[in-house]
Amino acid sequence: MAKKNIISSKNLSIGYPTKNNPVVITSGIDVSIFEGDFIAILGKNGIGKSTFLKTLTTELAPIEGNIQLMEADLNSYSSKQLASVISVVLTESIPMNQLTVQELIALGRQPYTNWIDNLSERDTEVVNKAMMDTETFDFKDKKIYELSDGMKQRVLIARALAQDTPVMILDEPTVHLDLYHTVQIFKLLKKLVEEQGKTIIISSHELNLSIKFASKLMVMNETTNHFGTTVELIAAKAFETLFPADGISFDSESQQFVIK
Amino acid sequence: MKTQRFGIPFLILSLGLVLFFLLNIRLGSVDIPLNAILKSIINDPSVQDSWRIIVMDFRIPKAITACIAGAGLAISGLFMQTLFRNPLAGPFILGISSGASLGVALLILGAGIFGGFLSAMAMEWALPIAASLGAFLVLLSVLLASNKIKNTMSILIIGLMFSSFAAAIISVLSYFSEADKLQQFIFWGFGSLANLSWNQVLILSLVFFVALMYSIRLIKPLNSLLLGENYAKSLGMNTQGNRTQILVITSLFTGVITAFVGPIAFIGLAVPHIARLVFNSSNHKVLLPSSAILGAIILLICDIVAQLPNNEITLPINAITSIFGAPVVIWLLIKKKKIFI
Repeated sequence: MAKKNIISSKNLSIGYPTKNNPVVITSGIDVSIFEGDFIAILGKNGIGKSTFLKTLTTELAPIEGNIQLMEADLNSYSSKQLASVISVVLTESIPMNQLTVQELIALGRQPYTNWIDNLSERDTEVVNKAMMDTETFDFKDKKIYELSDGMKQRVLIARALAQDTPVMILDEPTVHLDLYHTVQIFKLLKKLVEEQGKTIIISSHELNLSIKFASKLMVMNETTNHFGTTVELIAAKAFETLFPADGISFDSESQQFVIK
Repeated sequence: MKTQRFGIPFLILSLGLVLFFLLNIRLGSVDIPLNAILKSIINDPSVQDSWRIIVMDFRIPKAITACIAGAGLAISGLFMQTLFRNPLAGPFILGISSGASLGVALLILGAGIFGGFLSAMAMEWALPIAASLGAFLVLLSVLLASNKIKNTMSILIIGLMFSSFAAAIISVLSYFSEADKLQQFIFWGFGSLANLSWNQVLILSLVFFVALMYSIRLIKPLNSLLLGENYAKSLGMNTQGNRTQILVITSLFTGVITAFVGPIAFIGLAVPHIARLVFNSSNHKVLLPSSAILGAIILLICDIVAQLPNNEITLPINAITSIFGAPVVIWLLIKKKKIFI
């Protein structure tokens, strides 16, 4: 059975709009992402990973080409409709406030709640399940500011999960985390893809972990953007283009980046 | 959002509100016993006329004004702190009070300079209308600017710029004004809860009630703003539309309150913090009602202090709110060590 196409783009140019001519960060992006894909976007700082994710969440408009989301033009979605298709975990930290873990996760239900934001039985169920899936239930009554970075990240993922969308987009979800917690996050995301059929797109600097966990990768560099499975990318010699030749190299046998 | 259970604290707050409302009416320069006050309210002819006039035409309108001003300013402060994610934001951050001051300055000081005249009769409405017009013009400018701007923080700076601009014009007007006009203007700046006619109280209550009802609708977008604007947007919130609504409601509260009682400091900035500390919550379903009630109670208390019971002197309310308020907030912050929005 053919899997459902979730996101696709053809010859997409992305960047920032300015008054006269837009600043193009990168172009020639061809992706087709299917239901249940776990996509990791790799590339060095400033290459356009976040720009691409912002374009997917309509924060930025494409400069050229367009994006299809579930076989409809991304532009045709209102922000309300989009909220039930794509949920996000952003790199920005949330403002200092006294929300409890449960309250914060329950905010993920806002697209479905009534005008006064009352949780229905179903909303409570989804929130509880999101907490169970992310193992955040045990500290649901803690305040956000009491949490460690690793816990906070799980809570933010739980919030996105509570939003109950087929697509989840996470911008550098493991930044600030130690290796153990980084691996835990990758495992959690992989579990969500496998058990719940989510389509997850992340940007990451964890090259080796991304290669190990993600089902497809997008490798971004100045001139070309490669998209495919690890094997396809090795054949296309995409990983070699990621960094300048000195310092780090890709060992295609172990499928890992190594330090020279 | 699921709320923790807050029934008992709210019950205590409501009882406190009733208690201080009665105490506010009971205490003043003339000592009127409680049963005489109650008899005045039910229009019992056995009470002497002077007492009944003091209670019905002076103290009760003043107590109602205190409740509305306290509640409205506290809600406005809460909204601005959440919208700008800034614990130091207050209801006057948009330059509303500067706009109102400018309106009043043009009326009082400008009349002297440009040779206009104001009869005492006209003052009942001229002052609030001038203040409202000033506040409304500032609001309009901020809204026009905010529609061109994506970044919410820039609105904060624009508000500050409007304040400086208005202050500069007021300085120029003051420089050319006669002493008695200047004194009149400075007295307006002290703030005063007293001297509102029943008609004025009615208009104040009406605007307050409309703004309050609309505020309830804003609870949901305000809660999503606790995650920051980008998360709020990802939850399907129309960020610019809701921002405009929050600005309009805040301006409605502060504009009409400032117009009638003058710029009252501290309440709008500090009461939301006190509510957050007391209820240990950031949820606007809790903070909106608790800020409103606490604001009303605190302004009632400040007014009691300003009256100096059994004394002829009345201190400016604006001074009392700051003298008693600032130390309270400092103490709370030192004790709790953390500051939230």
